Amino acid sequence: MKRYRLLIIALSVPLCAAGCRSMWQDMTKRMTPLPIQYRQRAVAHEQAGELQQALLAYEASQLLGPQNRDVTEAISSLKKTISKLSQETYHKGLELYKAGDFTNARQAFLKTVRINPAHSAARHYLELNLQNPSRATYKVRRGDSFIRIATKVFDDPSKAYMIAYFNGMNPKKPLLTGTVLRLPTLDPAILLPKSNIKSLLVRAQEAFEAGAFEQAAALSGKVLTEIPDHAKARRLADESRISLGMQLMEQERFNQALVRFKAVSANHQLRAQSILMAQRELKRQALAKKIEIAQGYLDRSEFSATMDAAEEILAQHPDNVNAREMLNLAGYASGKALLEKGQESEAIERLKKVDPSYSDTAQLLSLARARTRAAAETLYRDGVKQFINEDLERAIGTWQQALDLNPNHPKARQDMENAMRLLEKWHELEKPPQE
Amino acid sequence: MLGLLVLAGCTGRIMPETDLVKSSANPRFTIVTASENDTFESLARTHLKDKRQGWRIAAYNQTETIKKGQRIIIPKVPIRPGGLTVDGYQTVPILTYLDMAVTPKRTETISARGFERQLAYLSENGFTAVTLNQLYAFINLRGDLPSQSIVITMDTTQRWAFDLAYPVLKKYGMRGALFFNIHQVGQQGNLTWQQLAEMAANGIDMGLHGTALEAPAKESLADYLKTYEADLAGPKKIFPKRLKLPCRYFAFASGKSDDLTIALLKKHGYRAGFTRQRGSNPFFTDAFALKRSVIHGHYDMQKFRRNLTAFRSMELR
Repeated sequence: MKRYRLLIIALSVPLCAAGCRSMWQDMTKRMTPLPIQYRQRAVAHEQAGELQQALLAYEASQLLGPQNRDVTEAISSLKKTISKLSQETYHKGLELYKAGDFTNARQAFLKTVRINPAHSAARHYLELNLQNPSRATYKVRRGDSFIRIATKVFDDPSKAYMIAYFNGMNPKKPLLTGTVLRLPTLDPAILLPKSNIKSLLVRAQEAFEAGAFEQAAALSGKVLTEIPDHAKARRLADESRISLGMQLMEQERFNQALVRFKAVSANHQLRAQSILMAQRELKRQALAKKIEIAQGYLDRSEFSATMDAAEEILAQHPDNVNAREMLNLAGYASGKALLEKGQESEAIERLKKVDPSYSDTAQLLSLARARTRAAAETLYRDGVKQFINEDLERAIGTWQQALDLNPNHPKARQDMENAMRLLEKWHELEKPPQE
Repeated sequence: MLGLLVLAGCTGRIMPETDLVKSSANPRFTIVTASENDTFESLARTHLKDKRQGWRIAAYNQTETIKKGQRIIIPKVPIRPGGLTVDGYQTVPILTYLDMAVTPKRTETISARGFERQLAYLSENGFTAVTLNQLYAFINLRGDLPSQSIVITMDTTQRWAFDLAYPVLKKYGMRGALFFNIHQVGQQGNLTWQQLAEMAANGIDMGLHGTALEAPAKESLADYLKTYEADLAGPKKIFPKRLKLPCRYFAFASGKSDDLTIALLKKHGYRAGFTRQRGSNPFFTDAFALKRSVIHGHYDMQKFRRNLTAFRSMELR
């Protein structure tokens, strides 16, 4: 029995020791505070040359624990090392690249990025220059634009936007001098034949110089269909359209001129001014036409139509002398005729529209008003008689006529209202009593 | 007795870490105290907005499980940018399938069973199929990838993608990407928008498969280019409507990239272009000339494995 116990103890000691070794390591790790664990990791990474991972671990240690001066100093020192080492390897890579040793240059740039992933210059070489070292490039010079570069490189200014987008740039933004652009390789099938554009432009210029603006505009427009940003074609098209518009203005074809002016580029200095001029002429033309129509009515003694036409013109052009004169003539003539026919109210309506100083309009108007007032007075008196005869409904009607002629009659309104009230009471008395 | 004493010592209470802050964050990390229900996935979803990043948290904390009260460091920056180590750099193989059938009639066509065998191999050998967005983050040094990452793509608008490939991808929990021709959707024998939407909603990335660029014929060059550009710009509006996701990735029609298309893709905000040039992709690869290896039906496992290079050795100390 004793022998068995000794055997169990003898066996259990190495077993426990072996079993506990990993547990011991785990326990040691778990007992070590986290900031120290990460610090230890950082040191291990640093020794292995894994500087980014070391930096990350140091930062974790710093974040986890209380401020530790050693860790702060280690971070600062590591950052300096990273910066120095990455610059050294980058410059080595650059030398190799310039010497045409692309394989070793790539290795050096990869080391640079491993040490410092934020090293954009090394990444640029890895991602662009070393991907296709034989790709053509273009260094931007002062005064260059994408169009100019596309013309130089491809003989096709319409491919300007392709150079821009291929380089991840906006074709509408200006280019910085010294920028190195990678040039796309384009299939000749998609390049515009240079001769076509050139010949179109030459023909357009010749047409312009010969004063054939319509043709010049059409030819330069063709170029713009293919290359919307072609500056020379745009300039020629604009000048042709302005000149053509002016020609049409001289021929008083203002509508057609306006169409040409509106087709000019928005930023052309003469566009707004020309459009305004054409619009003004169009308005003037429209006014002359209206006056002509009004004059026609007047010549045919169609006074009512003359007055309507003249008033319409004056609503838009209050100072138009012709329209004012026609309104006076027609209003006076028709007002006087109506007065002579005894149609005082209608005469007053016409004469009111006439300038009071025109001929004897003022006298005619006061005569018409006096006659109206007299007629109103007669009607008022008739109404009084009807009232006395207890014919209330007729009296009310007659007083209303008097008021139509003279709304300011001193008694007619009051008497009419009294009569209306009496009539109302009378009707109430006539109603059968309700149970 | 001695054994018991040793065991008692091993399982003894751990000393509390009184020097820890409760919860902290800085631009490069978030530190959290785990609660009972926390998993690496849930922490990744909350703090990294992507549950697939859980593996990074586990790796950085050098632990396989999370216990309540445990301090967990969540790295918000890549731990190993570009997969660069002192011994070399990570590369991402992208596989492409062009045709699949239950019983292939051509040697190029892969059988559904063959495809499943390949996925089983990848799964058993520690490969992780990642998304196109993950790949994009990797090549821009904005994200880590698991050490053996792979992208599985299909260039087709035909039904086999939905009927044969999609169920197998789902079975193995693998992500995939489909590049389809927008003009062929809904045609007889082809995928429908409904099927595409279902795949998109269940982990299959969607990209546009280009139409071949042919020389301009009778129309003016400007009109021809306008039409070609419209073909690339149109799907940017259709994808969000039909598939509820943006159109950011493009597969070149001929399998070769061309600079005209690249310029237009950049103009319209595409992120990457995929070729059919064989090879694996390091972080510094041209995003508009990503290499993909076409997997043909006649490939045996040995030939298949040749397309799975996930690391390139190089002395980078």
